[in-house]
Amino acid sequence: MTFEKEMDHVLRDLSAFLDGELAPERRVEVERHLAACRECAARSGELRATARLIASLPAPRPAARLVPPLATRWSWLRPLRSLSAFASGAFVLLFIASATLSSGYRFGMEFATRTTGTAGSAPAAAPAPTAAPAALEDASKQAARGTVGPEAADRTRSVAPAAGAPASATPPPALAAAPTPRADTARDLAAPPAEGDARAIALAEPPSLGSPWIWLALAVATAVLAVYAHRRLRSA
Amino acid sequence: MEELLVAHADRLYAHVSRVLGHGPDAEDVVQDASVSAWRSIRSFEGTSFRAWLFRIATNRAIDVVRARRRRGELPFDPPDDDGEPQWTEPASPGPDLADLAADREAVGVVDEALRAIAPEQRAALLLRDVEGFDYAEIARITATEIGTVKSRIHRGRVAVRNALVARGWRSSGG
Repeated sequence: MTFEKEMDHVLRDLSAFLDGELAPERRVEVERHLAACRECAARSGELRATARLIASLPAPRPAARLVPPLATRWSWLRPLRSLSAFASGAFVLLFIASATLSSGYRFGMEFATRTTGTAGSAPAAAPAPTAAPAALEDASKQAARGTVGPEAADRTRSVAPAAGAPASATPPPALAAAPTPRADTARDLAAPPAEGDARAIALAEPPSLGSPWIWLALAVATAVLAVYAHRRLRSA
Repeated sequence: MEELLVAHADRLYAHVSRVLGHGPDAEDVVQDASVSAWRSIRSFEGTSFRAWLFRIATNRAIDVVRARRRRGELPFDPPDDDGEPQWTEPASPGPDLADLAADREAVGVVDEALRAIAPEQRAALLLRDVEGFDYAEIARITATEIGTVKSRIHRGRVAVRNALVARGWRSSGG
């Protein structure tokens, strides 16, 4: 290798030589060359001085604390995240339970209705109109005043019950002797439950878990809270 | 973990600030790097937390410099090739480079020269001369080969030396 070629190689390795990054054999070769070459020795000195100058650069300092309080800023969210996730799960279970009870109640009521008749129509059999008693009262008053004869009052008495008969709770004997299906239903509901009706009566008790929609709303709200806490903790 | 981040924050800021060539982004880069380190602490597998932290910050800083150049806020990147560096000669004799350690003007020239070189060279040179990492650590930090690190450090150092020599400083011969 010519001296110029060797010089090029040494100059290329000068920084690694100064940094102690050359293999031992190569380091010996460079040291030998520097001992014999004033130009490369001068370059070596310049690079050493340059490295020292770079190392002595003043360090810029930050104006404020650079690291946000990562560990403490959102740590309080951890128990909240766990609690809200657990609560959300519990609310979902309550939603399922209350919805099951509610639908079971409706199904039971429908079943009871089918087996015992039209329970919902019972109120229609109740005595509603008061026209007949009012007519009787008016006729009596008119008879007392002499504006209407006793026959008219009697006619009114005989007609009024017939007019009120379909809706009256005290129908004439002829009508009461042939009861309508509505009257049957009312009597059945008013009567003590037979053995076969016990199930329907039991289902008439409303479920005690409350509205399923309340549980669903609570489940969604706590789930949203848990997701928010989780995202905040992840981003912290 | 937080204590470690706080302990390294000032040096990290100084390093990032120099890699960026100063400017307003250094605090943001350090904060981003700290948060990123905090989030990805599980992926830390090395033996040096400091090297890992400097890797995150250095890469972010270089990305910021490149983005600035793309936006035209900084001049075009100087070449980061593997060519041989040119050693310039002083125009006139001046003070000895070996006596410049405390010279404010020389420090200013070094700072200016560092800003003029490619960010990859600058980062490698700062990691070596200021932070004291060895070549293997710098290669891991910058995700490059040791040969590339050696070349970048040498060319960066010669570029700074040329800037000083251009101002009249000279060597006493080593």
